[in-house]
Amino acid sequence: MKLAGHLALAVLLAVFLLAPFIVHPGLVFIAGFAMIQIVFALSWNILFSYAGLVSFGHAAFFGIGAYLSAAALRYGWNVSFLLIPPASFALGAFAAFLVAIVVLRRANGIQFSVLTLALSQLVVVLIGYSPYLGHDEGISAIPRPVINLGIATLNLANPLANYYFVIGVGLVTILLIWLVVHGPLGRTMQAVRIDPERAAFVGIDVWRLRVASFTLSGGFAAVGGSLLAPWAQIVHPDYVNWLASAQPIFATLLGGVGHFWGPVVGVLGLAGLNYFTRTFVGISEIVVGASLLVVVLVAPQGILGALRKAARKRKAAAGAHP
Amino acid sequence: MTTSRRQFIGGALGMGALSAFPMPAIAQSGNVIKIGLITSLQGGYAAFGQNHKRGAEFAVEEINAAGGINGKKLELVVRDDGLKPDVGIAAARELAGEGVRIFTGGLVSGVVLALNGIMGELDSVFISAAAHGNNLTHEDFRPNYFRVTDYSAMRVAAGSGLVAQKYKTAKVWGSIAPDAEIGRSVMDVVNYHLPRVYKAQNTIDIKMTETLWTKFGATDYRNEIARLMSQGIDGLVVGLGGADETTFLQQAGQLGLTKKIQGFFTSGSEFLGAIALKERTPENYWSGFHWYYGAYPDNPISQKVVEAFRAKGYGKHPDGFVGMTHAAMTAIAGGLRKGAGPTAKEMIPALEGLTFDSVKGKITLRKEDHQAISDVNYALLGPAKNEDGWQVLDFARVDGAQFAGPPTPGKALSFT
Repeated sequence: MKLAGHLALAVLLAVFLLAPFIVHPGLVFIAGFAMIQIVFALSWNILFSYAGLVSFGHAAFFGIGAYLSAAALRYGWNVSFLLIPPASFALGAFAAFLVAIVVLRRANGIQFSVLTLALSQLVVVLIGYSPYLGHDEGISAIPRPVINLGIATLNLANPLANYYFVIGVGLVTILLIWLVVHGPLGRTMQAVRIDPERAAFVGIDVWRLRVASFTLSGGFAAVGGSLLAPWAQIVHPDYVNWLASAQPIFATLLGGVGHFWGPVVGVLGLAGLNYFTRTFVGISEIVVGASLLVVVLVAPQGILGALRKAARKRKAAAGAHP
Repeated sequence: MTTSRRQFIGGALGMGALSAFPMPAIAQSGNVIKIGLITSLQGGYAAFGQNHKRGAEFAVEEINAAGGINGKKLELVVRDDGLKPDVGIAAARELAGEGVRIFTGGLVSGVVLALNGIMGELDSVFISAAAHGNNLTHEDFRPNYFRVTDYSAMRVAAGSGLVAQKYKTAKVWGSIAPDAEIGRSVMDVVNYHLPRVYKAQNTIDIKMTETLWTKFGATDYRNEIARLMSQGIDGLVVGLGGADETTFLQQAGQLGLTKKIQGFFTSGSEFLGAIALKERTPENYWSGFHWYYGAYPDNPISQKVVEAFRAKGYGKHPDGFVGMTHAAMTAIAGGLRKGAGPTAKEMIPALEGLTFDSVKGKITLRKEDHQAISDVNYALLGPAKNEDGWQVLDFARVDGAQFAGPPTPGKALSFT
């Protein structure tokens, strides 16, 4: 199972890296967009699968990165675009920290989820009032930046350079998220998720741990958002609203709850379903919805959960009949 | 490590799936010019999107039946944008990879703005058939974008002129609009034009009461209706759209507001409210259209589209979305007939300043901002005892040239 997993990851990485040479530009765009969605979904999964928190309004932090990046490019801020993803992380994390210290002080469980949803909708309303952020129309026709690397320049107007920039920043962010959740902080998060009272009893400051998780998660979501502006060249309130917040939830449920790579499988599954049903006008939503329903009914633990179960069964069967 | 038969088959299937992906950059074949139609075929806009598709199909059938253009046939490739900008972009990039360089369609502003932004990079043109936002030919103008229909400010200004002509004694005007950019921009135009046009045409000073701002998706307008009734208004501007407008009209009719006033107008809901409300359609209701077919009994192009729509069993009343993709395809054909090839470099100069006959008469694509100078259509709808439950009592074909405003590509409209 472990070997198969590593092999699948290697194949996936190869497909992402070789996509511009093997598929048409429409699919390359979908691959880049999927990478952005993967970062977003993994940031949400830090909360759900590790810290035991459910945010219904995570797109607000994604939106902070997206709008920061869009404004920097559209209004020609005099800063290197290389600084925008880290700046987005800082701003997203700061906003998440402010939300966490207010909301987590009082709310838990479902109240927490609903409050995050309300706050994210507030962000949508605020964007609607802001001429700088393009009201309800968003910021469009965003120019792609030229990044000065000292020894060379990277012109993101070149589609290939732009693709590898998105994939590169995406992969680095995925690696950072992996390191966080597989390090001491991640293990402490799991302890709190499994039993907050017992975690507190052994000396873990549960509130502080939850604030830290939420802060980090908001920061990583904003990094994902910062890649949207140069990639899609439009940032719109639709990427911030409740439906956008539901995307990482769908992806995680489809891919596999409790797995680090679950959201990745989910995002790719949803992107694949949407792509292959794109010409079934009128029934594509039914096909996508029915597929999700089947997964939930047949494999409540998601695709990875079902695969793990099947592998265990096979192993047990192999053990019984050597 | 050994490879079992099952693992091998799995791997082979995986490779097969990968190799089945279409390869990039498939050029246009010699005798066909592909036109990409990107519109919204699902969700709340599905009916409009379907009509977009039908109008373009009628035009392609007509053009191909007449021998095509310069010996080449047109082929329509339809993609659904799912109301999402990123889905629209993916579709455009996919079609561009297959050699498509001419696009039309576009229903929701977010998708159109997104497509507008990438047309230059794709060396393509987008001929928008319905998007109404002022910004598309003003602050967000891009050289690769053309619009064959009127735009919000032009339609609302023409509507102001129309009501000033029809309701000469209406001195107090109320308004209701969503508290969002679209609502605010409609009210900017109304507040600027309505008092001026009344003064110019009827030499009276009208009073505009304070606009009632609502939220998108509201389901209860009783408070707003009560306030409008207490304001003593003679006329009303409704800046709501889609389902919100239908809900408001239903409640305004029930509570008697629409009977109490002389008339009201909405900028762009076509037959939507009447089809939904049937015999509960309110009185004195001027609805804006991209194209109202009943206004063109003398236009053979319009008549042909109406006949094709009915012959296919799509219904009795083709709406403006049918007409506008038909007009967009006619414009594209006009550009190609001038000798332009299907690339942005050749199509842009061919379309700039192009005048062509369409379902709503002559349309000129203004050179400076690529905005259509065309008629603006309104129809007066009301309840009826017929199979539809509603009827058209009157209509207007307003010359839009006087309301189009000067071209200011790159600059936002200003009413100060």
